[in-house]
Amino acid sequence: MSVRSLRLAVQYVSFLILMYGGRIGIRLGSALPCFACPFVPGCGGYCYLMGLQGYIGFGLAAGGAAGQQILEALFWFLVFVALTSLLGKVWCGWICPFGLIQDWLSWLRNTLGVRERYISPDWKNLIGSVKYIFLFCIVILPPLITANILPPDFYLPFCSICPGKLILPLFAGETQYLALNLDNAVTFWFSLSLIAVTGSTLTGVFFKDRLFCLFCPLLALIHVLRPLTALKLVKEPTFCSGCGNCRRACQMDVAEIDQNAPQVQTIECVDCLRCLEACPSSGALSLRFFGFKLFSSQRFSTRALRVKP
Amino acid sequence: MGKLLIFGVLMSLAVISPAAARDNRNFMWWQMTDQSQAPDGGHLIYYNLNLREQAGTEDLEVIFLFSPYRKDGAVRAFGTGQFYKKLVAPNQRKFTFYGGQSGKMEVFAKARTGGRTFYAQTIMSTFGQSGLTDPEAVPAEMSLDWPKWRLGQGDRFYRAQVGRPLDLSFSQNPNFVQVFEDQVVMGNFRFQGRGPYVYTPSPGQGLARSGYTARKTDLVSVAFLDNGDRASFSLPVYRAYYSQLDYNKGFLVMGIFLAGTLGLVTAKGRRFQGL
Amino acid sequence: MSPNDTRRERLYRKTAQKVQAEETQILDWLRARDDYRPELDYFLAQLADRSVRAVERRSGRKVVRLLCNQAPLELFLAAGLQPLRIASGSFNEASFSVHNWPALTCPLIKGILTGLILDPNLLTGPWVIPSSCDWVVKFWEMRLEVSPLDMTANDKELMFLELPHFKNRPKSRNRWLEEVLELKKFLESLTGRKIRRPELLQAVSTVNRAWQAILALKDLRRQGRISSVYFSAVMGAFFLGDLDTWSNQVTALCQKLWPAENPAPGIFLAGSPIFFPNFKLPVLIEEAGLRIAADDLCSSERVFPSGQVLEDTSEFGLTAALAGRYHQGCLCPTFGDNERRVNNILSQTEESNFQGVVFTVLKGCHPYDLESVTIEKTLKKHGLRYLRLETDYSAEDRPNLLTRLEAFASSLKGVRGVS
Repeated sequence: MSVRSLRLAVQYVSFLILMYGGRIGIRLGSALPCFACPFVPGCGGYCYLMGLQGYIGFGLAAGGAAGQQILEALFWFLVFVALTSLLGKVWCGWICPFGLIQDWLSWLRNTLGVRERYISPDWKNLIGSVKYIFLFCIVILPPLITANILPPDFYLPFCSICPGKLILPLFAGETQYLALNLDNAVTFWFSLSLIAVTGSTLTGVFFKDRLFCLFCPLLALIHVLRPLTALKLVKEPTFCSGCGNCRRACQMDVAEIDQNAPQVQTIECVDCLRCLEACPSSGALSLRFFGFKLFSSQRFSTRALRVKP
Repeated sequence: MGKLLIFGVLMSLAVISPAAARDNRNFMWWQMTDQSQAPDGGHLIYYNLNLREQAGTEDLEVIFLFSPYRKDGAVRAFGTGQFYKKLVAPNQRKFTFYGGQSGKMEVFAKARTGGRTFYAQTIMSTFGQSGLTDPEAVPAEMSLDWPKWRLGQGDRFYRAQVGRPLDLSFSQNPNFVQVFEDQVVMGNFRFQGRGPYVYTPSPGQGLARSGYTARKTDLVSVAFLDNGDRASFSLPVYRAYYSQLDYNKGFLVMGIFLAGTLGLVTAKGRRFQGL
Repeated sequence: MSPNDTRRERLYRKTAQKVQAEETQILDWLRARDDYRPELDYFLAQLADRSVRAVERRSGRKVVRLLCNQAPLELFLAAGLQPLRIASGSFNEASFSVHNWPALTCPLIKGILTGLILDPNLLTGPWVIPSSCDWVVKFWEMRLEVSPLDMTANDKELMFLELPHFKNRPKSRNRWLEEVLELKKFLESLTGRKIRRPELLQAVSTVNRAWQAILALKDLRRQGRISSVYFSAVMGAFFLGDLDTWSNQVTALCQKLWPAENPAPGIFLAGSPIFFPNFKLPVLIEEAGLRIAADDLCSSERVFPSGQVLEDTSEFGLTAALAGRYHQGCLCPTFGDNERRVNNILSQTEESNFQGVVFTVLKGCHPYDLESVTIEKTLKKHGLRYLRLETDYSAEDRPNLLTRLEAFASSLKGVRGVS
C-alpha cells in the first residue's frame, strides 16, 4: 500500500470517527489537536481550541478558588501535549476532518483542470501571521468576557469565526451557521465574519491547496511542541541532489523542503508526505518515529509516477 | 474589481445592519464559572450574573430553581426542584451560593427589579451534593407561579426562521396542574407590535403550534394568564431559545465573499507566479 | 563547378564513408559478443541510421533538433513532434572539423558541425537550442562557417532557450518557466495545433513509462547482468524512433533471461556524455575488469531527470512542473549552484554497490573539467575511490586509459565488500 493510499484511508476513517463517532458512543475527549468541531452534533471528540478558549476564561474568572476548574484545564492541556507529542503534524495532514475537506476541494480543482495558484514565500509569511493573531484572541478575549469587559456573545471568539464551525456541521445536517444571527450587534458581526471568512476560505482553498492551514492556530501550537514530537520528517542532506520534486509536490509549498539541511519541516508542513513519495533518491526523506524509519523515499518507486492520460 | 468589491460589501452591510443592531437589553445571562469543594463538604457553585440593563436602584431579587435535567422530550419534572432566593445589590455582578444537585441541572432564574421581571434558563453540569445549606432557601411552593416555558422542542435550542411558523412547547408544573385543574389555562402569545394571539392549551399538553409566521425583527414574548388570581407576567424569550437567523442574508454574504475572492484570484493581468 | 568544389565533395564523401565504417565496426562488434541478445537488434538498427529522415520515418513525426536535453521532452511529444538530440561521437566527424576550429573545441560540437554537411536534412528544419554551455551558445554562429553550401535556415523555425545558470533561485526558476512557456508557443506554431492538458498528460504518461523501463534496465545493469556497453547502446537509441515502442522494447529486453550477477567491482561513471559510436570508455571499463553500476551521463541514465511527479495537472501546472523538473533536476555542471550533483552519487553508493567513481572529461569540455576538482574532494571525503580520465574521440589513448583503469580496478579489490 502506498503512503498516499494509506493516508487517504486514515483521513476517511478519522473523518467518520470525528464527525459521527459521538452517535455510537465514541468520545475522544476535549483536547484533540485537529478541527474535530464540537458544533457538529454527534461528533466524536472536541477540538482543543474550544477548550482552550473556555478554560482560560473560566479558570481566570474563578480567582483564588480555581480548584477543580484549573485542574481540569491542566489535565486537558497535558492530554493535548501528549497527543501532539505522539503524532505531531500527522494530526494536520492525516486526521483533521477540515483538512480532508480542503483536499476534496483541491481534488475538484485538479479534476476540472483549473490551475493551482502560487503564493510567494513573502506573502505566505505575511498571511501566515494571522494565526498568531487568532492565538492571541483565543488567549486574551475569554478573560475579558469573564471580567465583564466584553459581553458574553464574545464567548468562544475563535470558534465564532472559524470556517470549520460553518462547514463541518453541514455534514451532520446542522445548517444554522449559514445564517446571519440578528440577535444583537455582536452576534451579527460575528456571524457576518464567520460567513465572510468561510466564503473566502472556500474559494481560496479551491485555488490553493490547504490554504486555511496557513491560518490555523492549532498548527502554531503543534509546531511549538515540535521538540517533543516523536514523529519527524527528516532529510539526509548527502542524499539530496536538489531536483526539487519535493517542493513541487508539497501541498503547503514549503520552500525549505528542497534545501540541503536535515531539518526541513517548517511550521507550514502538515506531514502529507507527498515530498517523500515524490523524491527519487532512496533515503533522502524519511518519516521517523522515535528515530525508527516508518516511511522512506525510494529511487525505484514508481507509484508516484502513475498518471492517467 | 477591488473597488467594486468594497462598494458591494459596504452597501450590503448598510442594508443589513440597521435591522441587526437591535440589542436584547432585557435579557440577563449567566455563566457558570467554577465549581469547587466548599469548606463544610458541600459543593460551591459560582454564578456570574450579568444584567444588560438595570432600572432603578432597588435591590435585585433573584430566585433560582434547580431541577434535574431529563432528556425526555418537552416534559420536565419539577417535583424534585430546589429553590434559592437571594437579594443582590444593584451593582453586584456575581455572587455565590451553596447547593444544587449533582449531575445535569436545569437552572432557572427569575429576577425582579424596577417593576420588571427578568428570566434566564440554562442547562449545566454540576458536581454538588443534594441539600441546601443556606437558610434563605425558599419553600417549594414557590414553584407554583413559575411557568415552565420554552420555545422549541425537547432539548434543542429553538431557531426562529423567517417565514416559518413558530413552534412553542411548554410543560406545566404537575403541582400547578393538580391545584388548578379546574381553571382554564391560557397561553397568550404576544409578538412585538402584533398580537396578542391567544392559544389555549389543554393541561398537560406539551406542544402548541402557534401558526404565527416569524418576521425578522420579532421578539417573542409569552404571557401566561389564567383565570385565577395569579398575576400574569410576560416571559421575554431567553436569547438562546430564540435566535433571529436570517438565512437569506447569510447566503448573500457568502455569495459576495465567494465571488469577491474568486475575482481577486482570477483577475486578468496578474503575472503568473512561477516556481 | 571549380576543382576546389569537386575536391571538397570528395572529401565529404570520404569522411562519410569513414564515419559509416566507424559505426559499422562498433555495431558488428556489439552483435558478435557472447552476451548479445536478438532483442538488442532493434536498438542497434536505430543506431545504424540516425539521419533525420530515418527518425521521422520511424517515429511518424516531424523532427525538432535539440542540442541539449534541457528542453522538456514532453512538450515536443504533446505537440506531436519528435525531439531528436543532435550529437556525435564519431572520431572522423570530429577530426574533419579540426581544420576550421581551435584544437580544444568541444568534440561533440565539431562532430555536429560535420554532421550538418553530411546530412543536408539536418540543418533545414526546426531547431531548439538551450543555452547550456558556451559551445552550444556559439554553435549557431559557427554553422555559418561550416561550408560554402547554402545553409540558410528558416529563422521562424529556430528557438533559443535562455537557460538560467542557477537552479536554486526563485528568479531563475521563473525565468526558465517563461522560456518554457515560449517554447510551448513555438512548438504550437510549428504544428498549428494547441498543446492542451490531454496532450500533456499523454506525453507525461509516455515519458513516465519510458522512465519505468529505464528503471528496470538500470536494475539489470546495477546487478551487472547486462553489459554497460549495451546499456549505452539502448540509451543511445532513445531519441531515434517512437518513444512508446522504445519503452516496450526495453521492457521486453529486461524480461529476457540474463546471466547471473557479475561479481566484478562496480564503479559509478560520471562526467561528460558519451555518444555513439564512441563507446571507448564503457568498453575499456569492462576490459579492465570493472562494471558500471550506475552513471549520471546525460547521454545515458540521465537522458531526462527521472519520472515526472504531478500534483497540479492543469495545463499551466503541467507545464510549470515540466519546466521545474528539467531545470532543477539537471546535474549538468553548466549550473553555478550544482554542488548537490555529488549527492546523486553518494545516495546510490549502497543500493548500486559501487566503491569507486570514474569521472570522464572530454577534452575541451571545461565545465566538467572544473567540476571534477570539487567532486573529487567530496567523494574522497566520503570514502570513495576516484579516477579522473581526460580523453577525446580518438583511439590513440586506449592503452593508457586501460592501464589506468586496470590499476583502479586493483585498488578497488582491496575495498571491503568487493570480492
